[in-house]
Amino acid sequence: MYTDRRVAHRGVRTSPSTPQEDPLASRDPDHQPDHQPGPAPAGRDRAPDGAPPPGDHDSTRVRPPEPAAAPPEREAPAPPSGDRPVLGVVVIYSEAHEEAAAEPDPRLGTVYPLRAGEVLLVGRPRQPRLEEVLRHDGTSIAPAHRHHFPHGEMYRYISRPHLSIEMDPRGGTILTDFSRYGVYLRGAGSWLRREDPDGTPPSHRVDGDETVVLMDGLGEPGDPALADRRSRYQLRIVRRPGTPATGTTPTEPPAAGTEPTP
Amino acid sequence: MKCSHCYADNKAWATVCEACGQAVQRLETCPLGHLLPPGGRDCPVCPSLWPEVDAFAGPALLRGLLWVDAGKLAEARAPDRLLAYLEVRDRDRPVSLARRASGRVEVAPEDDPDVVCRLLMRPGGPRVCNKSAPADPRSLPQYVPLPPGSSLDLGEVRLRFLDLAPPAWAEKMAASR
Repeated sequence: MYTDRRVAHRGVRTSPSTPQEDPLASRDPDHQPDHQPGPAPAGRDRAPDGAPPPGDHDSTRVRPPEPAAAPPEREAPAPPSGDRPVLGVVVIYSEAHEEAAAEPDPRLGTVYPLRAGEVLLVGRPRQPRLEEVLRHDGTSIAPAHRHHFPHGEMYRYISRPHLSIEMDPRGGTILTDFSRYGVYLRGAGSWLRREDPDGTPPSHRVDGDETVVLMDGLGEPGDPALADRRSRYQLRIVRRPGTPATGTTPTEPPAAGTEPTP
Repeated sequence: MKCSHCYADNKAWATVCEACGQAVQRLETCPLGHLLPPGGRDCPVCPSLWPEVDAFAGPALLRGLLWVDAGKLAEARAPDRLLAYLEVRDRDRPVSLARRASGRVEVAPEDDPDVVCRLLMRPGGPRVCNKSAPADPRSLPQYVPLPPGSSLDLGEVRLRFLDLAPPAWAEKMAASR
């Protein structure tokens, strides 16, 4: 079990960073370190209700690095990922922050396979980098995959981080929402938003395949004027055929000794 | 038909040489008209035939996944690493699937002698030429559409095609390149 106190109760753990480690600060005019929020930018940089831009939300705020401590106690390492079956995939068609290094072009579609105990973190890049994210059972985990949207107008209202996705071997997919504006489940037709912006990021279970739209605070989920824009930050969750589509309640931590064996 | 004993010419359907009385072996062809070797039942030509494909120069847009429903799938260049799925992207050349041991299929080079199936992915949707389960053994091999949700059976290996339906802007971008 993780005992590192740097794992913030609000859901994220970050790596220590210095200004020299933040290459975006000098390159990207849109970039704004989360831990040093400047004056709210004009125009569309400001949320419609006058709130600070997404991603600067308190739930993602960085804690100052603490002095080096003894290595945290952890459970035995998981078996190599190649030995565990893929439970499903998440497919995203979009630009990516790491586009220069990506092959093929992420706009042509990227597939993120998820095995038991693996998490995909989706959002905009931030400095310092998030090392771990909170899971539904209170533990934290280093994401196996990250999809960072680029800075700029199109993805301005995506939070950093926005959402983590984990597939449960017992069935279903668990979404943990760190964002300001929540997510919209296109299949279920429901808009999931945080009731308490300062509280623990809520987790939701999705049964079967689903298309998830990261919400941007610009309007209703079904607004046709935003459909094309939102198709760039929607995720398609696909469970592997033959795996259970449903599972248990995500807020219910697994009992001791009942951790599923892939 | 020329007699192999006295070299006399006989009619094509003759079974006995009209000149010397020796038995004449009839010429046999496969359903597609290829000459079979004496005593052989398997056509040496048909297995090497594949349909021609048109050239394609567009980008590798992801259109779907081939999930492994049954059996094992790997790449010939990394046979120890089993794949849970195969990304189906637009591309110029078809993906060739070779049947190896029982219950195992590998993504192989086109000239691999064990190739039993080719998958051609184009903007109109995937098409498949499956010689392990031909629609009509008497017809020339050809590509047929692979509908969303349908299975591709390669012996004990079964792959299911999942259509991802890329967003309109991605289709438009791919078409404009």
